[in-house]
Amino acid sequence: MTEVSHQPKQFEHIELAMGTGFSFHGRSSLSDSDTSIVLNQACAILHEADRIFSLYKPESPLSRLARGETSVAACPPVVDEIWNACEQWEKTTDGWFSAFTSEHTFDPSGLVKTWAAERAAEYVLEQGITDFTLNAGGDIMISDGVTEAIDWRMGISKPISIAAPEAGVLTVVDLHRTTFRAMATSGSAERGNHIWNPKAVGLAPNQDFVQVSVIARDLVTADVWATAAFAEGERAIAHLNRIDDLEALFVYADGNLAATDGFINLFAK
Amino acid sequence: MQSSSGNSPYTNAVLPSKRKWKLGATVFSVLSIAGGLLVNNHLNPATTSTIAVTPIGTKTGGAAKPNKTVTSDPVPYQFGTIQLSVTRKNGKISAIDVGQSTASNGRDQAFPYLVQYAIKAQSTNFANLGGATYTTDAFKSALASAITKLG
Repeated sequence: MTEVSHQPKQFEHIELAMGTGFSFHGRSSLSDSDTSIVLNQACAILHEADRIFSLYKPESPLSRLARGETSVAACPPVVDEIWNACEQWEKTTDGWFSAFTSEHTFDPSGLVKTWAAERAAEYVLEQGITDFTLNAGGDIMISDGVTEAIDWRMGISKPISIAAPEAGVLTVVDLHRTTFRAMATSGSAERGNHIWNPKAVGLAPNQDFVQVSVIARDLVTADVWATAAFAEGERAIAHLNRIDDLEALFVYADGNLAATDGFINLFAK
Repeated sequence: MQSSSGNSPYTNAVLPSKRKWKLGATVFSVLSIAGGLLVNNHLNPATTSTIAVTPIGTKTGGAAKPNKTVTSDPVPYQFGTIQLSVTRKNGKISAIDVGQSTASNGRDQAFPYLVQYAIKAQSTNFANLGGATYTTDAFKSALASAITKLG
């Protein structure tokens, strides 16, 4: 009875940040108060990223950068880090992921949320909580130390808003005994058409898919490729098949599905 | 087993239905062609599901065979079932259509099994629901709705 701190205890922490909901859920051997401190610190990382990168906050360093009032050099160093990461991802995806808008401003929103989520999760791991999942507004990562079978399984929403009455589960995947630890989904169901076409300035992105879910080893990789594949359209199926350590499920507007070759092994049984 | 007139076996394949086995054999060989075309269709989606073919039949002598379209039995293959309809016009095969139901074009052909797998997996329980990034408002109302369901 006195040794409760060594008995893993279930926890759930929901935080509203960056315009969406983040949910940490798992088991911790720390005391309740320590668990709570760790999770609050992790969420501080999310809020700090939002303070720097939000384009909805007119005084954020990134908003000021977009208006030309400041330079990358004058911004917090993390801006330069994200800028470089975005440039690298643009090359990696053959230009299908781009943080540089047609107005030549820098909008890394597509990367910052999952990047910050990864930093927050790393912090939680470093503090000794190793058995948890993090749902970052629909993009999910699973820690290596997850002990419950259900935590390895993730539902994928139908390509309609989760707030819609007909919302439901399209399918369920199971990442247990795979090297995959993350899934990210891109689509127009929640936020409308917020993905632009980096290859055709002024044109809408490809309309082949209404939703693309990408499964990868880490959350940022999954997120970037989901955005890129959504923008690329149908040819992304072949494109993603050529990339190692990625699987993807594509939903067409008519409800048909397509997938990379290995995806079939990930369906929950 | 070629006919004495030395026609291509394809011509025989669209002879009246009592020679169904030949139609079957043709469908089988056409499948490999169609398979290639389907892959092509998938990579370069066409707006129509009709695959235009160069007429491969020849005049068979005597009275011209009546124009007609025959439909094969559904033939299972790697990605599901394929059904072809073959049209003969003026004694020549004028079109091979990939049939109605499960086989309307390359993409539909290739992936129906995925839907089945996806639906089968639907009922499994899971810890997290993923989807396109939801807004705070959507998140809150989904949460509220879930809590209501908990009762």
